[in-house]
Amino acid sequence: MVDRNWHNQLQRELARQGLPRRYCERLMDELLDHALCLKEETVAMEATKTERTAPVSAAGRIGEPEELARAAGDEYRRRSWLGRHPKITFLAAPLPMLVLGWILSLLAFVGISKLAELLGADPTGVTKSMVSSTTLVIMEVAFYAWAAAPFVLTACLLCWAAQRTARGPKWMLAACTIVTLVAAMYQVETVLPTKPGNGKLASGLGFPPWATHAARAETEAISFATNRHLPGRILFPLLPLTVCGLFLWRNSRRTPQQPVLPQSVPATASH
Amino acid sequence: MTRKRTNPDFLNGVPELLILQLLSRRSMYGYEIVQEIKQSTGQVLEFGEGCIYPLLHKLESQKLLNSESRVVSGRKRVIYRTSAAGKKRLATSQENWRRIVAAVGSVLEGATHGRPELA
Repeated sequence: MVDRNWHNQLQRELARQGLPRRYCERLMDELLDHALCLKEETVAMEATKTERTAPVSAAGRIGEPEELARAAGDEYRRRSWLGRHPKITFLAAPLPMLVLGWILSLLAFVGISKLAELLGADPTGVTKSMVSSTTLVIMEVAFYAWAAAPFVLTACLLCWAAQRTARGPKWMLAACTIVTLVAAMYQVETVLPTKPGNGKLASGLGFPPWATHAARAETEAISFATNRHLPGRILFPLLPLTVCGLFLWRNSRRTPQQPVLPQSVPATASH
Repeated sequence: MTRKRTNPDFLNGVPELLILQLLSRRSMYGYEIVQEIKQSTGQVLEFGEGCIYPLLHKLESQKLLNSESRVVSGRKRVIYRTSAAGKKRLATSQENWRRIVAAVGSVLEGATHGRPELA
């Protein structure tokens, strides 16, 4: 009654729907219990009936694996607002999310500057000749991390939402592509003040995305910009896609490749 | 292998109503619920038996059902029961259902209200 092929196919179909592993395991347990109840029912009927009737397979009563997995996937996606509105969540929401991310990152930048002032670490008047090259590298890495944070966090949130709502890689990739395109055009530049009031923080969208200019790098003032080096211009927009790739890779590792029927369950090769 | 015919789309919402009603009487697991629906409806309502589980999970995620996992004869079984919120929803759904049935019934039985007058 419990056909191994049916069981394995169902596991594959559930994995294809992008459903969370725990949910799939629970559904499989329940369906397996159901199939065994049907088996017990058939045995009981055969014992009481004198006239034999053709046995009905588990797939015949419970449903085809594709049909069951589709029903489970549809119901799962309908559970949340995000899952019911994928176009809004994954196509329209990335831009407002990025704007919110920029606002928050600018507030964080201002907050950190004020905190540095309060702690007596005011960078005003500090020039390139006053700090070591290692310090400059650390500062530049911190600057890039700060500039990339809204994109990486937005990509993480969207991938998490796609995973959570079982919307699958298509929507995940679409959302991260939008974030990547914006990241490709995003440019931010900061110049530490050499005297009070002449510091600078500017951000915006620039075109073409690969354009670079190194003019301010020649001055004595400490400055960082995302459009200064071509490798940076190329790597910066790839970060959201990397996040997407990591989520997809993790999901593929979670998917059971070789579904196994539990030992306690009797299996037959045909139905 | 024959495919199971399911009831058409206009019965959307009916399985949920039946599940809430049956589970408000006593706790049951999936197979029992399916059998109970079959018996109670004289096998008029039929849906793929496995499709009951996504519905149960949805109702549970909406806090309309409570569930409890047990191990019976070495296999895992989840027992469901209608929650307090589920009972409230059930009352509303029953009321809506009765209004719809009455409205459809009045049309089918040829109520004169709203019938266009002949010239």
